[in-house]
Amino acid sequence: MLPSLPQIRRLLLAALTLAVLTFLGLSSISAEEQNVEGYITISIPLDIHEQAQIDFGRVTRPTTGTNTFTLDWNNSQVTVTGGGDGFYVDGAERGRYRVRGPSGDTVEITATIGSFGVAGITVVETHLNGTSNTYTAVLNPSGMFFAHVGGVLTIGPDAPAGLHTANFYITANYP
Amino acid sequence: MIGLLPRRTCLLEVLLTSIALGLVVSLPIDARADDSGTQFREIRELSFGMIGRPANSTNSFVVNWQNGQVSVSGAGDGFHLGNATNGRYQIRGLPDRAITFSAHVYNFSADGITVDEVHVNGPSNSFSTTLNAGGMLMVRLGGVVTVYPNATVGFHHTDVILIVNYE
Repeated sequence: MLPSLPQIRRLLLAALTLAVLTFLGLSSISAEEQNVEGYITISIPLDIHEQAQIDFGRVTRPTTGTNTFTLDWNNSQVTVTGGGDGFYVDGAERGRYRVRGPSGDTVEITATIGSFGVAGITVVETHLNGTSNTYTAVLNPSGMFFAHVGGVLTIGPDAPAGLHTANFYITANYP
Repeated sequence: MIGLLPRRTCLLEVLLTSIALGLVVSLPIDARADDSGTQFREIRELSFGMIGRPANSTNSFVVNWQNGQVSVSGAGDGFHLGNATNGRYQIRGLPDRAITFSAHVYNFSADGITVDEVHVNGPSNSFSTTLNAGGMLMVRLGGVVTVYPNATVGFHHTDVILIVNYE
């Protein structure tokens, strides 16, 4: 009734083969490789060079009332309005700044005239290539854009005589 | 009865051998089917973003593997302008299966940019773990590049090789 010893050996061998093959099958190691992409964009930092400082020139303060002095960003002309008897004398010049970077790039430029820090002189507006203090420009084929700056001041009778300075800020950024 | 025993044994051997062969043929195929390329999904590409190259010296830019944030170091005056993202990839396979994941980022085919390090779910370019109970794993990829003053302006891409070893 019982199988012979060789038969038992064959059975054990078959079982062992099964076990080994099963183990090999279940523990097989496989690898998978994927090819994807990574990116980088290199740009040239923007550069701002001052070619001419903004200068409102010489003005005579009003004895009464106030006057508004507008320095044209486009042609350096000064116009005077208001109820005072102040007037513009000479020497005004728009500010000129060269922004340089990659040609064709869009840049956002912002300009701000700071306070003169004295009574009687108030900075009302800063004008950058228009009547706003911000401008979105596209750099020309040479990678340049010329920013022109004007502005608006009010001057009252209490403005101290003499030369006064204010800080001027101009920034250029990629949008 | 005695004469039938060898025949039964023989049939049993054939049966067992057939099962074994069946397992040899079928189990690895089934297992590999679970590890096929269809189980890999790119959710987001690795991007070092937009970089203003330094005018002098060099800068290193690290894209954090975990959150995509960029940190800048080095003596140069280069700066980062945004748009960086860490790479995100989803791996799906057998639940709780042990894997080793590694990544390699080739150098960009442009002057002045070198890929220094690759970070996969940590500060190394490889790691071992197991898929979760649902058979999933999220892989995040970051790295370090050095940018030189002569870096070629423009948009560049490179190959990223991701290797999953299922154990």
